[in-house]
Amino acid sequence: MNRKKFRFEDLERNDTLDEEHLKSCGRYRRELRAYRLFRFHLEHLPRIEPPPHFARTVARLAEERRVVPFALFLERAARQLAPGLIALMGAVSVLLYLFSQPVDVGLTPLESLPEEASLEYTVDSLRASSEGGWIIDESN
Amino acid sequence: MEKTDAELVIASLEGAPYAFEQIVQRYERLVFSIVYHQLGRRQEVEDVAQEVFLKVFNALSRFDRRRPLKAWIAKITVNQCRDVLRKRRSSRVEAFSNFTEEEERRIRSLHDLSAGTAAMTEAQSRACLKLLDQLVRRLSHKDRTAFLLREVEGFGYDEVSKVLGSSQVAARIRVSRTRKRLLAALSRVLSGGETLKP
Repeated sequence: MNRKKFRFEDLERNDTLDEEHLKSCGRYRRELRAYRLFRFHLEHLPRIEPPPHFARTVARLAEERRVVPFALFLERAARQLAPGLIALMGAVSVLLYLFSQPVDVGLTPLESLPEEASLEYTVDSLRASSEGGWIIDESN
Repeated sequence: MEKTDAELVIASLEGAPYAFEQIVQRYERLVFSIVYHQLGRRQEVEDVAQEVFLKVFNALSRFDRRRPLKAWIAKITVNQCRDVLRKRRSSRVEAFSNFTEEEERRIRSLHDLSAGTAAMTEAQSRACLKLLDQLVRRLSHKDRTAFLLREVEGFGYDEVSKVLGSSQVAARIRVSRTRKRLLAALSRVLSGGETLKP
């Protein structure tokens, strides 16, 4: 026994106690009791046992990650981006479809116009108007 | 003949089947114990331990094989626990004295076992465990780590210092100071001078 060691906080597991001092010192005995309880309970703190196949499961996971780290990265990226890509492709398809349709700007087809609206009628009308004199002849 | 840690690390890096599994088998109990006593939540232990071993695997090529694997794995475990506690936004460690029925039975048998050692009542036995639990939870991260590694896991001070990244003397002082605090509190409770606060 190392006689210098009277402080219990400095006692290590394998240190022995000063039996002589123990017999004569009440305080030492009280501290010893607390110390023994302390040691006893530390050694019996609750523990959790790993499940039976923990090592195998973890090793397999680790191996999977090592063998194809880049492939795994691609796979994960694809899995995360897939919904976005599908939505984007859908939106582009819809836009392409819309742009490929003929544009309706609200003009009436010629066939549906009344006879008076034909080109000849319009030209004739213009000619008649000019003969009426309201087109100024600047040569005079 | 059983392979050394260094041999297993080399074999694992070379892709030998079962090498890493053997490393996990060798240290799974240590990792589970550290995680449990650091976090205190049973349901989290397996997930955190798995993360630890995956980190170990990924960092294996950077491991200095002249150093002890045990302390290196313990350090990764402690760091992982610290990260988990940070994410919880609280360093509060849950009580591992929230006993299950099985543990209640264990305490009763513990009491019978310890009767010859320390002559205490069952209530005292229960109080001791609760007190230790509460006190350990209130320690700082470094104090708790040093104390648990030394007293529960049986690490040498050289290993504790490697995990903490401090000198051996600093590790020894940290453990001694923690022991002193716990012993003083335990003595007060045993002498009836103080009751346990929930």
